[in-house]
Formats: sequence, C-alpha cells, structure tokens
Amino acid sequence: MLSPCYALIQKARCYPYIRNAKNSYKEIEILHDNTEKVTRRDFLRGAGASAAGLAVLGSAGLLMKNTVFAKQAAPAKPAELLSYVKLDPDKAMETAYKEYLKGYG
Amino acid sequence: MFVSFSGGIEHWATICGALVSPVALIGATVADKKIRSAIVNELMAWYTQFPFPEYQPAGLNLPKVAVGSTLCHVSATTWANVAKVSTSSKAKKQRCGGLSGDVAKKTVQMLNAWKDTGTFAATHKPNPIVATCMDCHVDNEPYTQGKENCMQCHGDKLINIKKSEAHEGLF
Repeated sequence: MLSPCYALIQKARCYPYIRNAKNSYKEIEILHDNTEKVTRRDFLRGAGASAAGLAVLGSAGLLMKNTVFAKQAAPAKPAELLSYVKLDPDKAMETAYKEYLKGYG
Repeated sequence: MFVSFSGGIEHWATICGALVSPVALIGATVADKKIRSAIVNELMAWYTQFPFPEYQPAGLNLPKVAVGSTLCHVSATTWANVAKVSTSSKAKKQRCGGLSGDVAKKTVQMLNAWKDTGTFAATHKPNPIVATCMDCHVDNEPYTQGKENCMQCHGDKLINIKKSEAHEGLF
C-alpha cells in the first residue's frame, strides 16, 4: 500500500495535472484513487512510522490528529491553514521522546 | 515522511531532525507569514541556546549543553565531547530523545500561545555576531548567508585536521 504521506503529496500534485490538462483522464483518476483510499488510521500509522525528529512524531502525530482529519470538516479560520487544537506540551514531549527511542533516531 | 531526517538527514548531520517536523507543522497551521516566521525563528534561536536535554526520564543525569547551532553535526559533536561519550552510545541516544521531547514541548507551547492570543512575540534571537558578519558579507565577497553563529566554524576554534599530528599522512 502507498504510504499515506506519499498519497497526500500525490493529492497535492493532482491539481496541476488537472489544470494543465496534459494528462489523461485515467491518470488523474489513478492519482485521486490512491489518495481517497487513505484513511485516518492509515495516515496516523504512516506518521507514526515516519516521525524521526519531532517529536517529531510526537507532535506531528498529535497535531495531525487534531488538524488534518479531526477538524477537516470544519471550515478553517482565516489565520490558519489547518485548524489547530491546543495540545498538552508535556504529553507531546513524552510522545516525542518515546517515538525517538523506538528507533527512528 | 520524516524518517529520513533522522541524524540530520540519514546521519549526514545537517539540520537537527528534531526541528524538521515542528517547522512543517508550524507551516501547516499558521497562515500569517509574519507570525509563522516569528514562531519558526523563535524555535531555531531557542534551540541554539537551550541546554539540552532538559527531559531525562531515564534518570541518567546527562550533562545539559547549549550547543549554539541547529546543525546536527555541531549539536551532537558538541554535546558528545562535553559528555565524553560516543555518538553511538546509549547516552547520546537518550540525549537526542530528550532533546526531541524538549523541542516538541517548545513547539506546542508556542502554538498554544499563538492560539490563545492570535499573535506571537519571540524572545530568542540569533547570536549578535551574525548581524555583524552579514552587514558586510551578504553583498561583499566572500558572499554568504545564514543565521547560525559564524564563529563556530570561522573563529579561532576551527580545527585544521591537516595540521593534526594524529592525522599526518592521511591527506
């Protein structure tokens, strides 16, 4: 299966493909198809497997959980690209530390 | 997504991997360019001055060292030589794990503060020597750019390996 993160990157790449209309309908469909199959669980699993630094993961996982998916349905405020829900700094610290020691460092 | 930033990108020891995903997350949540820039600059400057690792759940009583740079090479090298441990040691891994925790905590604290107020005020700045150097060398030869402490690599502490007796004949 495609990495969830890679799929998200692909999704972003879809737009220029469509805008330029240089690619076949089939190709665009493939790109979309790959992205739509990414579930929230898939994404978090992928993030968990990739968090190298931050706590990288710690914060990445926590923040993404509260932004990309959990709040996706709600319209973002003008000052935010993705809606941010306040996190517990100590929990983020603990998570980041543990993720690092899992072997990503 | 961030796995290869480990060890400053697959142990090339460039940017500290603990900084990469926080910067990405800040960029993904803070739309205002000035505020986003202020938060990222605060994180970078704070990193150079903070005595890592504050978070030491393993209880190893590791030395806390402000390394003066966001570069993995400088950060890890400086700390390991102060602690007198190998960069492949468990102590060093604990140090970088604790550092990752410290950076995550700082990032969340900054984003929470921004969320509460809608703005952000930085409290850390690059080393003052940077402004002194850049005043001339942005537009005059030898040209350069950056916010890291110039003197860490270009000051009197520079080690010339070719002049080291221990390395005689290697080059």
